[in-house]
Amino acid sequence: MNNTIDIKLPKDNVNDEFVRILSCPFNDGDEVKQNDILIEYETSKADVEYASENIGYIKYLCKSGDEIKPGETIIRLFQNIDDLKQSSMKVEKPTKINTSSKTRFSKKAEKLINEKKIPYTQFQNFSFVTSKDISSNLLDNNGFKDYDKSDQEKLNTENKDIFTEEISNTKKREIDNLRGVQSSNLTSVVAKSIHIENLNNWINTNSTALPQSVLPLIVFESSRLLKKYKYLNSYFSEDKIHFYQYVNIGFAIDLEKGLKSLTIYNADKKTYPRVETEIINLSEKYLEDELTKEDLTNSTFTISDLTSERSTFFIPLINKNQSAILGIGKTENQINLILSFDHRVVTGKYSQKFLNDLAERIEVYIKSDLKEIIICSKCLISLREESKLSGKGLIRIINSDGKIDFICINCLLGN
Amino acid sequence: MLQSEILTSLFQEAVKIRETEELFLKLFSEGKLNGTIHTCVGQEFNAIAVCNCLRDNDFVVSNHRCHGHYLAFKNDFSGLIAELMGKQNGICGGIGSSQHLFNKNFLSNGIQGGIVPIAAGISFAKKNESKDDIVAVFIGDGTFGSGTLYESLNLISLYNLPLLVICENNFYAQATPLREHLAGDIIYRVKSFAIETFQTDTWDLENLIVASDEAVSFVRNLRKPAFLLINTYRLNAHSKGDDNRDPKEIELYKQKDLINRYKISNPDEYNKMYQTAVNEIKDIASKLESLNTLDIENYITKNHKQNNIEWGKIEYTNQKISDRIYKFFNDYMKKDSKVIMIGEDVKYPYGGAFKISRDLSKLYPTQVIETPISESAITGFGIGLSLMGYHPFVEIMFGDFITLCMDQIINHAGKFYHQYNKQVKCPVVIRTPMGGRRGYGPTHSQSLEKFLIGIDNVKVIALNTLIDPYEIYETIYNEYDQPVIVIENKTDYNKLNSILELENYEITKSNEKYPTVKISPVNHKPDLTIVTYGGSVSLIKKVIDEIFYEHELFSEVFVISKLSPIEVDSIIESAVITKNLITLEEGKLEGGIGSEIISTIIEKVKVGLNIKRIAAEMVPIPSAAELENFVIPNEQKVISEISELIHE
Ligand SMILES: Cc1ncc(C[n+]2csc(CCOP(=O)(O)OP(=O)(O)O)c2C)c(N)n1
Repeated sequence: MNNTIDIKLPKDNVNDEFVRILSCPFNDGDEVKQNDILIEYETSKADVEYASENIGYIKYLCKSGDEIKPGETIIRLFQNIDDLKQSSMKVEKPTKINTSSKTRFSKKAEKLINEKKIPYTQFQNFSFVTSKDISSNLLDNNGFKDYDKSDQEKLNTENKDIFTEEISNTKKREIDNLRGVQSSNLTSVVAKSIHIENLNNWINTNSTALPQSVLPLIVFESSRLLKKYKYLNSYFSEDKIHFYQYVNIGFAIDLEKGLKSLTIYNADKKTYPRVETEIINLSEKYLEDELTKEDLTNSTFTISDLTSERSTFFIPLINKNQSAILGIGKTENQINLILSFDHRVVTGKYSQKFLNDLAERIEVYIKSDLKEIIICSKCLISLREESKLSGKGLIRIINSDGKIDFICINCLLGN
Repeated sequence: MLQSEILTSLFQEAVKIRETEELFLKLFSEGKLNGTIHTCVGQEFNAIAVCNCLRDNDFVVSNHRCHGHYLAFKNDFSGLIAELMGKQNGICGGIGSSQHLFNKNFLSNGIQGGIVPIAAGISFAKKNESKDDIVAVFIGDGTFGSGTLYESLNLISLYNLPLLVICENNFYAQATPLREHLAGDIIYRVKSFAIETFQTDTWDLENLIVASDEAVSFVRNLRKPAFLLINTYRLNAHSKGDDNRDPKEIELYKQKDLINRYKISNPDEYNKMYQTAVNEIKDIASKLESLNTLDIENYITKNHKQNNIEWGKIEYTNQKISDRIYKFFNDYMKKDSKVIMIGEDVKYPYGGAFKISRDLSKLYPTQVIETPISESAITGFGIGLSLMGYHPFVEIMFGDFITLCMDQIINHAGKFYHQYNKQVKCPVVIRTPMGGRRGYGPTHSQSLEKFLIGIDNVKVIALNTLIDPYEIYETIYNEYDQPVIVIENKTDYNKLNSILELENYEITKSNEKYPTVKISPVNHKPDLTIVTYGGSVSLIKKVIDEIFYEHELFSEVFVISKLSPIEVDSIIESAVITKNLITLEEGKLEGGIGSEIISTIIEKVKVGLNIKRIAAEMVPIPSAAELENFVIPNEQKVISEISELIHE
């Protein structure tokens, strides 16, 4: 019978185990045309509108609010309205999660749930539920405090541009080969050390608030570099690579309040002092328990700095929907950069090259007598980056505030 | 009568050996030798008579007093002298020195009796591989006090091995005269094993040569063991200056000594021999003097590289652990006739106390060796086989009996690779079931693996139900590099190699050769790091659940496979995150595996950790079920000990 077309919940863009249906704009039996929006659903990454590729009479196999597994049939299109009417009695429902058996509740959580009469189904997506989860769930319902975001950042989170690329067949074979040996977990690690005798001097002179830390500098430099190394600012799913069109750096923090990754939005577009300030602000919010959802999500690349723990070498674990994570360890006079990467996305060579470039950029601070990071006040290109392009350097100007600033030749000429 | 030129050459050889020994004593007194030596002065002709009947392909195994045997068999004076002078050009790079020699088809070691089962293992291989090669092992009268000797005599007679045991009875065991250390009679003792015996002495050269020839020929032709007793006397002290024998007695034997008599009867010839020998030896020694000792870097093997740990999926067979071990043997015995299983009661129909060998003896009759209750000798036997390129798997019926194998493991298997300067590998595998919970009581329920870790060059692996034992044994088979002890667990034999039913936990294994299994909460940072192995896996599920339910704490569990040398690369990251490190084992607490795991981790992470070792109580394991369940960690006890740690 070719009279029906089954539409499955697309797996492509999501890694999620379950996806929530937001709305079903038609009524069963309505006639739909090509490009009509048939359904809206929410993934961990974005709200998605699904447009019809066909015409027909629609029958929903789910309703708004359902949690559905990607790959399940959600809509059936009938070419003939009578077929729809006939079948309407015997359409099989997609499987939903069976909450009670999967989710583990702690004793305290159980007690709270019973006291507060919260429905258990609230937690159907949870693997574990602790008393903390219950309190944050209550908070969630009241809504998170909204956090001042620049328009630019809002744009980013709302309109998550993700470009997708199919991987080549050669790469697929390579992945299959690797899988044979390593089984499903295809991460690998490269590392690089940098001598830092003079780096501390540099940091101490240039830093306003974090005099001992290399983190701001590494966030600053690696976020810029990630524009070039776009594969490290992407993620793999369903045999496709999805590239982020923006660089949001998550930095891992673990100070009594649990391990969290805090997001610096558009880090590649921020000045060094701004990066530094954001790290401090986010860390303060972390300590004061004032983090918002946005602070904890949407990062595209993560940096885990264990230098203060005096870790020399460790293997950081890649976060979900990312392809790499940079670890920073430290020995007496060198720092160790460790990059864990998803072998399905990039090769060791590519990853090592990224580290080498990063190291080179950082070593400039040690070698040169540049006392501060000089960047173009308009396009934010740094002196070092510029030197690799036109090599003309930056021009010193007085800005409208009467302060000394710099501008690159391109911006000066208005290009 | 011996022809005079033969006689001359025999004396020439004996004088050269004697003068080599004298040189050693001299170098010793000059401080140019380190350690100790046992010279064979007075006993040279024994070695010469026997070794002259041997061929290059035969194998000689010897004891502490081995210089004469080595020189007579190998005729390698400079190798031996360099060895004793501690030079890297010595036959064992100066590591073994006097008592620990190895050179193709020659081996000596310093443990009385311990070498005999090894010689038996070597002779088993010789019997399989060749029609006429034999093995000769030299022991002294004092060695008749060693139990391993009798285990070995029993084995070689039962298996009809082409091994000649030569006892040089010099009437003393170090300082103790024969009448005080040996009851009864040496020959009768040996005869009682139904071993053919031959007797002679040092002072009738013709008879010595004839008897040696007869004994060697008997073994070579009949492919059976024989025993040659040579009454003899050492003219020097036991080692250097330790002599409490009656000087009159010594004087008497000096007069009886063949070389001394020759010196009087043929002074010109003797002087010529003496001068030639002394010149040659001195020449060798002076040339060696400037040579170097071995570089320490060339001696110590640093085999631990930092692992890049990756975690991957586990494939479960869902078959019984015992079936998987059996299948390994079935497959590999079929594939490789050098895979040999040795153990008590391993033959069909009994098929092993824990039914691992089953019908293997029917399928591969030459590869399954059923043995008497001789844990020490069968371990040595396996060692001998492994030196000959075999894949011996020694089954020790209960882990508790491993104590009887300790000398073979520590002083033989573990030593050979290094003490012979990496010329041989000794990849013997010893399998044994440990663990309680079956009510077998104090001597059949222990987990003694803590006594097996940290032994030179010995690897200890513990099986568990999450990793297919077939895979582990395959790795061991392929690695074929060093002695391995495999701890199996009694109560796991009948369990399935299958996943732990733990929802919302991810169970992965590391890419290490002997994988670590990691059990991690999904999407949650762990609060506790628990390290365990072997049979304790059975407690994990309940413990993890309960700790979460009661305390809202997430546990990350590591089940390690390799206990020694311990490697913690896979665990460090977790320990750094949780800062709470707990070890769980079935063995006793003090000096246990947990202590080793914890100290290794702390050494590496350099951050403060809360630590807790959970292990058995420091008393024998009782038989009564309730008591046993208390002494060996049970789920409730583990949970309450962890709770204590958390609330400290
Ligand atoms: C198992 C063991 N116990 C004790 C010793 C110490 N020891 C070395 S030689 C020796 C005497 C051995 O006597 P015997 O076997 O008659 O050989 P001999 O020294 O007379 O050649 C002893 C007790 C040892 N090496 N090994």
